[in-house]
Amino acid sequence: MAAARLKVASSRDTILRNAQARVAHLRGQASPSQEERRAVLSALTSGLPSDRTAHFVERARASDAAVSRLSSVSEVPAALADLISGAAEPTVCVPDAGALRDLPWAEAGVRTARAPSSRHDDASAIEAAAGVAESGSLVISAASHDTPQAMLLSGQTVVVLFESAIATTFEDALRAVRSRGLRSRVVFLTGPSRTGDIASRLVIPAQGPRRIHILVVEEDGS
Amino acid sequence: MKSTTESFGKNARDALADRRLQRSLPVIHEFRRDHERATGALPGYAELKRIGRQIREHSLANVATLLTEFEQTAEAAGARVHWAADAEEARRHVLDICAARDARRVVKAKSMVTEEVGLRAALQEAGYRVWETDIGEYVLQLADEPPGHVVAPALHKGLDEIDELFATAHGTASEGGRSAEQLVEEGSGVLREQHAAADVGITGANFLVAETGSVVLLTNEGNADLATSLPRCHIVVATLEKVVRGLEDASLLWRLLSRAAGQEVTTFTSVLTGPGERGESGGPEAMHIVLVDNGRSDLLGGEFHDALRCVRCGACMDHCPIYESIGGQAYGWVYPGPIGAVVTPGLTNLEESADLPQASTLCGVCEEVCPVDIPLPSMLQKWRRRAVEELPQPARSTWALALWRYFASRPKLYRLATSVVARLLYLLSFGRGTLRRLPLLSGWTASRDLPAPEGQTFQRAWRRRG
Ligand code: SF4
Repeated sequence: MAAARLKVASSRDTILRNAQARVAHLRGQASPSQEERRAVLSALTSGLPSDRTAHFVERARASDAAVSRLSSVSEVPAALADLISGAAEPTVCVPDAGALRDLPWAEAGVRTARAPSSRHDDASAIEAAAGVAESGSLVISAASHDTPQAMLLSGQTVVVLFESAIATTFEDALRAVRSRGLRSRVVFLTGPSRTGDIASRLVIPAQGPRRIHILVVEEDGS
Repeated sequence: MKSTTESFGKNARDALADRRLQRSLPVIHEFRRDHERATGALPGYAELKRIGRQIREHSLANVATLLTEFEQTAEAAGARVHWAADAEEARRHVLDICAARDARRVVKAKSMVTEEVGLRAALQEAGYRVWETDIGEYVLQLADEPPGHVVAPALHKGLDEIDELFATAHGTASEGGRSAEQLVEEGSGVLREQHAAADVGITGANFLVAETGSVVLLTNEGNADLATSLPRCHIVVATLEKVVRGLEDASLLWRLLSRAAGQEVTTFTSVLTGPGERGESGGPEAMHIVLVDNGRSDLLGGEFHDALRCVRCGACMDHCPIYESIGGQAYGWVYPGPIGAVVTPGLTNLEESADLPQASTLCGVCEEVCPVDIPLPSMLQKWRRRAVEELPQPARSTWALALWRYFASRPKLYRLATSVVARLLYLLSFGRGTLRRLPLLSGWTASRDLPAPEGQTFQRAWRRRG
């Protein structure tokens, strides 16, 4: 064990020493400045329409997510009840403690659970920390694995996104998410899972999420 | 991974004669169109490329400092960082981690470096049950083949072959003719069970972020996120050069990478910082990050330094006429296409892989489409030069060059000889303008005609022109 430790330590040092020595002459290499980054981001977003929400909705639909718009978060249970209607005894997994879990689900006739189920008819309801208009991505930010598991495993992944949380770029969304402390899992999710691995044909869904339905809520969630 | 680069010539001939492969390869024309669409549709793509290159240059120039910072931030977030000088040490770290956790079952998402270090074989030899979980890689595991592309590993496999492989492996009574959707559904079902039962999930990394200790993964299928959300332990195997300074470097690069790979954005861009908290239904409680050198630090600062900017988008191979003709497996090691022909001699040895840099027309398209401007053609030429300088050359080419030097250094004799040969070839062509067969040049004439001279040398025609 002692010998193994020594080897580990020496690999680290040898690698770092070797790397350091070989790039010593390149040290002056500058990282792009803030102005350069801003210029690139404004070039990248120059074609985006001014209505961020409308653009988000268009991009999200282009990524094969379904989108509905609600005016208040209190409409979420009824909207979900509609989405899962027709299923036999469906449950909705609500992994996050907080606003969504406290909604009056029972009143809308929806049974909730904490653990996800992968039955086709079941759904999960997750709140997105942000949206990205440039790509139609949802930002799922979580400290525990419950949220990513619910996102991945449910028959249908329903994501609640407050309109006020829609940012223009990935960078804006990252800043917003980080301002509340970087969580262990930050996933930019753009549409349901997909693969082109079988004979190069695009197949949706692949391994999960299978279906994504975004509920864009107009009312401010903060 | 065992290399067959030494028999590249034979691999290429076999690939050309492989009917199934030849039927699959034209799909890369679609990849080219996707690349064109995803990059052409983005205003500011040229600026993005420029800044992406600058970020990669800066990361490489400061790689040691950034890795040291990454080690600190990742460990502060609860991950454990391990360093591997070579493939053997990388395998040993992973085996030790699995043994310490008393693991039995391992799921592994797509990762080129795990192919490079032969991780799956090592785990299987040690008695672990290992599943590749990217559907393409899973197909290749069933077929016992190496990947043929860095982004689409099984692009050479047709629907009928995959149907057969799945039917045998899953015991499904298929009569053939199943659709891609049916096969994905079946494969995903099998893989989901394996994810749920696995003790360890292994992934690679697209970027390592020094500032936050995060690992960034760009994927589409959902398997990498399953591998990092269900098993109790997550192991990341990543190479040194993946490190970047901050999350805002990573976000610019992930745009560039997915666009160059032909997609506006990948379905998942997952930023994982530390193991996360186990919730109601489990998930990782430990995260290990194995940083692999395996020859890369020796490439830093040298002639092939710029190749380490590569973000593995696959665009250079999608646009390469050689790749289009022979596919990826013929290259004989992990990385195919132009970037493979550049890094393979550097990461393995030139002696066994000297044919790879020859496998290029030097048309230059690879450099044009590369999102981080890697000068691939000039690097291929550097390897060719090194091969001539450092390796014994075949007797035939030494002899031919000596003969050419003899004539070329005697202008009168050269003129006389070329005019005789030009005349002779003209006569042999019987005025058709082409030659069907020629002694010593059967390698050329076997598959195409040789244009014949017009009867006089260029020098004489030039003089006549006055
Ligand atoms: S060399 Fe350039 S084009 Fe080829 S895979 Fe790497 S980044 Fe992509």
